[in-house]
Amino acid sequence: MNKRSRFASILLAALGAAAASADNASDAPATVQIVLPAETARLAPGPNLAAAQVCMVCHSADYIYMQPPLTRDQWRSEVVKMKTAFGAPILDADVDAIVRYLMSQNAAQIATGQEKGAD
Amino acid sequence: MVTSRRIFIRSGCTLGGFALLGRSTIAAAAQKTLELPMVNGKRELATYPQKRELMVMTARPVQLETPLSLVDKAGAFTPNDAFFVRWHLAGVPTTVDAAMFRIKVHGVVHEPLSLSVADLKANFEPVEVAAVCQCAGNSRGLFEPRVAGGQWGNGAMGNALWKGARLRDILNKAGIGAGAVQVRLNGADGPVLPATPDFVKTLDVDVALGEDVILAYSMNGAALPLLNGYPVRLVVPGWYATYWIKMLNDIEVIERVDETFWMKPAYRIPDNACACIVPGQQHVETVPINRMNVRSFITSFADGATVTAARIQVVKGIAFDGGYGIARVLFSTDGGKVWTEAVLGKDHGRYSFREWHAGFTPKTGQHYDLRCLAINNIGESQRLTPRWNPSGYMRNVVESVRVSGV
Repeated sequence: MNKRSRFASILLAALGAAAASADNASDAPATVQIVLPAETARLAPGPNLAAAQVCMVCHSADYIYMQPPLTRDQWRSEVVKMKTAFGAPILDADVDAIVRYLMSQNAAQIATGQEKGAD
Repeated sequence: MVTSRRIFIRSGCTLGGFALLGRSTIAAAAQKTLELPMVNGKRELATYPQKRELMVMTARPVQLETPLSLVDKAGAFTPNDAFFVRWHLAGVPTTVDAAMFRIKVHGVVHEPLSLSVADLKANFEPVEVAAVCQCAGNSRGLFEPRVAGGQWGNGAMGNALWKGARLRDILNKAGIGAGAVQVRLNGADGPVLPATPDFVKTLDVDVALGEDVILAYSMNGAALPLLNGYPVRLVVPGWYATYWIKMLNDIEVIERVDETFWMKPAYRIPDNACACIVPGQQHVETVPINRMNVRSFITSFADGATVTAARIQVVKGIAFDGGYGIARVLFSTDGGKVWTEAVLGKDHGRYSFREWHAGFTPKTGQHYDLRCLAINNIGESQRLTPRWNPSGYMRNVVESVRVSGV
């Protein structure tokens, strides 16, 4: 069992009927409550890590680490998109700092990933 | 087609760098991972609520990918607990009281409605449709050159038997007013920040009035898992999943073409026959992504597998398209030089996965490049070379699974 499995749980507070029998029109709809597993990915150390923490307001760190290695311009356009299209609270002055952090993570990913085959 | 498709499971810490910060002792324990055939393709395997063990693409917002081995086990219908999960924004309700849930119908209508789930079940004709739900960016991680975005392998797809009320019947009950152009669909999810555009998608009125477009309250004979949109999601058979709004609670008929963020610039494809461009090409006209193209997969063998020689091996897979139905699946063992006709499985309807199988007898020490190619009922087939577009949408190249006889 990994961490997520242990933490994953579901509470079905059925009002009269189990959710699984929702096919039947006469069943009262149920309340469903889930508890999402805790996030495991964290931003790794790197230059300007503090500035990059703003990314975590809206999404988990794995959103960054699943990306292929991107060029400086590609990372910049992602950061600018987060700021302008998604309204991320990123100061103009911090854009370069965050891009530098993300570039450092490209290298970190490759060093820890497939290139060396290390886990 | 030079990427390795080898998929294997191993234990170890995900991306070593993470271990340095903020890990509890529990989190530092060995985690099961699965490697997708792409740089940075390592995915943690985890069991989420109402789900079996799936690949975690991202934890927040939740995005889970179905391993193709599960598609193989399931056959034509993907079990609810194996179905992929994709949310755009992290504000996903984790408690849903279906008795209190209401779907508002408003805008350019004669009579605004507020419908409960019980209303949907009791007052509208129930309709069943088997339909593939596939993310527009399914297989994005296989694009070359790579593009930013959700780095899916081939598992952002599933097929289910959906049951619900027609959107058409609901719109007709409300009465569409003069000047109606599109129907805007919104769910109970929302952004973390007020400044982030809410995830809302819009269909032209003629699409919304299609006879198979339903508000589904049942998936494979059970309630939808919360992470797949409980209690009600829109099902737009043949169209990409981006329109299949989960936890659907707002239907607005509008008098204009919606050009808000998730319709423009998001989810657009080049406005040409192949929905493709040359990498770097600028100033390309775009249209909203819409109907799915034809695809097929070998599910019974993973790339890099060894197979027992000197006996007939059955190769299984699935095929689907955007709603014309699968006419033929061709199968090759030599990378596409010679094709033979595969045998199609039961027809569950034109929007469904169509199972297929073929046989071949491998020889010891021989290498085989297995491929399948589907053709739909209007003659559309898969591409032999991959298309490229900047958002990584609509991959449907003939895939390759290499195996060796032993």
